Amino acid sequence: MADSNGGGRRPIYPAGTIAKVSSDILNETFHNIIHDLVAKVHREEKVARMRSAVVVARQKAEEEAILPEETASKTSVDTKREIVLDHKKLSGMHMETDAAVYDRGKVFLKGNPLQTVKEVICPDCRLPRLLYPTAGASCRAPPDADAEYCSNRPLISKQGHDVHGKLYAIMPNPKKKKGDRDSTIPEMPTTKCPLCPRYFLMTRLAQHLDRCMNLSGRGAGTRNKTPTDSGASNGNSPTSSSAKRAHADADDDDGSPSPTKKKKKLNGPKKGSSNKPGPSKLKQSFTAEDNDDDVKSENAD
Amino acid sequence: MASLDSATLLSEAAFGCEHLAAFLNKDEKIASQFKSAFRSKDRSLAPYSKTDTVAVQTSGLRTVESLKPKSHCLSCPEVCLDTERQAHTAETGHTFYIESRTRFLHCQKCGDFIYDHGLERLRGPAGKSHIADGRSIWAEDSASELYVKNNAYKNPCAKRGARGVWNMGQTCYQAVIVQALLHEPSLNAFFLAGGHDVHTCQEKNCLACGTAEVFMEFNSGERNEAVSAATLLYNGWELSKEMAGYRQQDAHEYFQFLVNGLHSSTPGHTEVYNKKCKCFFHQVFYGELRSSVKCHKCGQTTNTDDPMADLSLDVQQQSKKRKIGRSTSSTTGTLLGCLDSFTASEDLHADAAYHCEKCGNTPQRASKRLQIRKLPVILCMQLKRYEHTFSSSEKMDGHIDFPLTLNMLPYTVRKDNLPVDMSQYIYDLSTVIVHEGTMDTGHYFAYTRIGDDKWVLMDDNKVTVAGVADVLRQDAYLLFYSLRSLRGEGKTK
Repeated sequence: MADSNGGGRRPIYPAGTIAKVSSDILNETFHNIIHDLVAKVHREEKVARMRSAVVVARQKAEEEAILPEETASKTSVDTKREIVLDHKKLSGMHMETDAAVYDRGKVFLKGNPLQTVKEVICPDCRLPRLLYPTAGASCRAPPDADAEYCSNRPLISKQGHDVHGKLYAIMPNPKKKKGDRDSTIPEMPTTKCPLCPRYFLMTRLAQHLDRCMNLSGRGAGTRNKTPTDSGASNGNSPTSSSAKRAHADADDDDGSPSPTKKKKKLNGPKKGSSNKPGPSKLKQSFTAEDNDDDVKSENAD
Repeated sequence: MASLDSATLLSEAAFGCEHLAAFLNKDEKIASQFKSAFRSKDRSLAPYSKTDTVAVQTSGLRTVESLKPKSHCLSCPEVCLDTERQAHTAETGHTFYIESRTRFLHCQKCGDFIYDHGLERLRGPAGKSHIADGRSIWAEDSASELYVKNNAYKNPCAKRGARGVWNMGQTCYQAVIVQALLHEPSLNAFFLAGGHDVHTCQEKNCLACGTAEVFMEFNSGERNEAVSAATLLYNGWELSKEMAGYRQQDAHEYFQFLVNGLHSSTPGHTEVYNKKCKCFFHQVFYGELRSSVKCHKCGQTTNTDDPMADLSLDVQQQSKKRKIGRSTSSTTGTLLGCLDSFTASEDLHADAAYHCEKCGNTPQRASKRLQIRKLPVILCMQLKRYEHTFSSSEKMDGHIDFPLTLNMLPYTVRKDNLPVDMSQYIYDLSTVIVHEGTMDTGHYFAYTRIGDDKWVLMDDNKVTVAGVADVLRQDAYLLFYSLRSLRGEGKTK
């Protein structure tokens, strides 16, 4: 195959020369590298199609074998799917699809699945798989907008978004009421301090815990340890700078909470709020916010 | 321990193609002959195992051997190139070939590679037993696979493993280590199977409880947002003064701290020096390092074996060598080079006084060598990127090449000339942890492999796609490799 492709332009070296040997080695090494890559993709693709063929055949057979509701009590119940199957019928059944033969519980392939199977089906949820990401780099719209697809979708590669296609979590904006918020922008969750009953923004927990456990070096002994010593009122907690930094990378967590260390902002809405510092106001609304989340997460648990 | 893979049996076709089905169903005897032929050819083609290379005729300079993949006929000893396969089939009627590079099965009637679940299980990870009593094991096993499949809790389909870990404020050292562990299949199997029972654990501030909690949250349901390791952080802070506090820590130290903690919180572990610990974490994380000292006068070698949870490799030596120009032609340092110098033998200074017992406890010149005696399942390697001078410590940047697949055999005590089972030494890169910044301050992030060959960048709670090339380009600080075949582990459990 490779020989026929480049035959015309490849220089011919006389047999027995070093040039011939080296060019042969080089050519064949490239051949092998390409061979391995193609073989790997071939395997992935063919196995996926084979499985799809099997899943489709199995599903079809099972659909045939669904018992009418009245007789359901007599046979075993598949608890997961809440569908009652006639296992006796299923085990004796023979049926064919385009790509496979279901025969007494086993599935045999028919022909080459690369030709007979058009769609990759997830063996777990039996829904078709999306082959391309739905957003970002090399995305494609799903072939059928209304169809349901397996939730194991290709990873999304898009600036400012994670692999699930979500925007990075931002610091909750205390100015906005729950209803007004843009639900497409995830907000940083809060978490309960392992020690005291208060809730904190995820990214602030370590700082609080340090205080809560009375670890802080400077004046560790003198600092009030009770939970009422509000972490929020202390020094550099959620001031305007933190709101600005909210989205922009927790990555420089070198701890320096200096307000100058802001990075690129993602979107407008929080800009307005961060321009009005008023730490006391902010603090109040933050506590309210915390309480809100408090209730919410308790319910969630 | 049933792997998740084996639970996919029900979605597998009974045979790789209709021709193979017809062939294997025709005659029991022929089928078993075929299977054993497949097994032996497959084994002889397995990578890294020492097989005799085909003898090259030396009568003058001629093209005598091709590097291209060859097809080995499974019905006779014929070995041919792709292009000659058709002729062989026409002549003999043999249909099935195994291809030498990938060890895939090729069906000439399909004109395509076929992938047969039943045959591929013959080469499976639990390979040791199949010579002795192959058939019975595999015949029964499909029943147990079915059992596993029907009774296993099925994860909902989701992008498995693509979840971040929250940085709780200067805790990225923890986030990266947790990420590295979260993607280890053996640890997942342990924690998700209730290997550490959180509800009955009596220990205060137990690290295993904290870790188990993270594993459970990480694997729970269809959620894909970042997970919190708050309890683990708190427990760690309570346990150790060094680790505690709102400040940056060394990720490597945290790894050691965590591994120690996990180990000591496991019932049945032992820390007695001479006694071999059999607990799960010991098997997974701890290898053994042999340091042997050889007296130059009498030639006697004294061995000392110590447990090791990771390898700390000197980068400095590499760069020094490079400066002098002694290094092999490559311009950047390599992980293999680091491992080479780690396991190289070095002369002890005469005045460092090694007292040889055999030579009457007199100080002698001697050489010392470190080698790995036992390899852990999860191999963590630290590239020591600091340079200590009298006044200060400095971080050394610069790239060290590291491979996706690592053969650890040359660095172990075993000698090369003995035939060994190579699968026990092949490691795959699983996580790369990078430190960005200076000695005192900076940020950690991790590149993690999810699935077979997808890589993601885990920057705290942010998970983004990364290419293999991106990963290999990083100036790594910590490298996690995991053993490709968990065979030994499966047996001991």
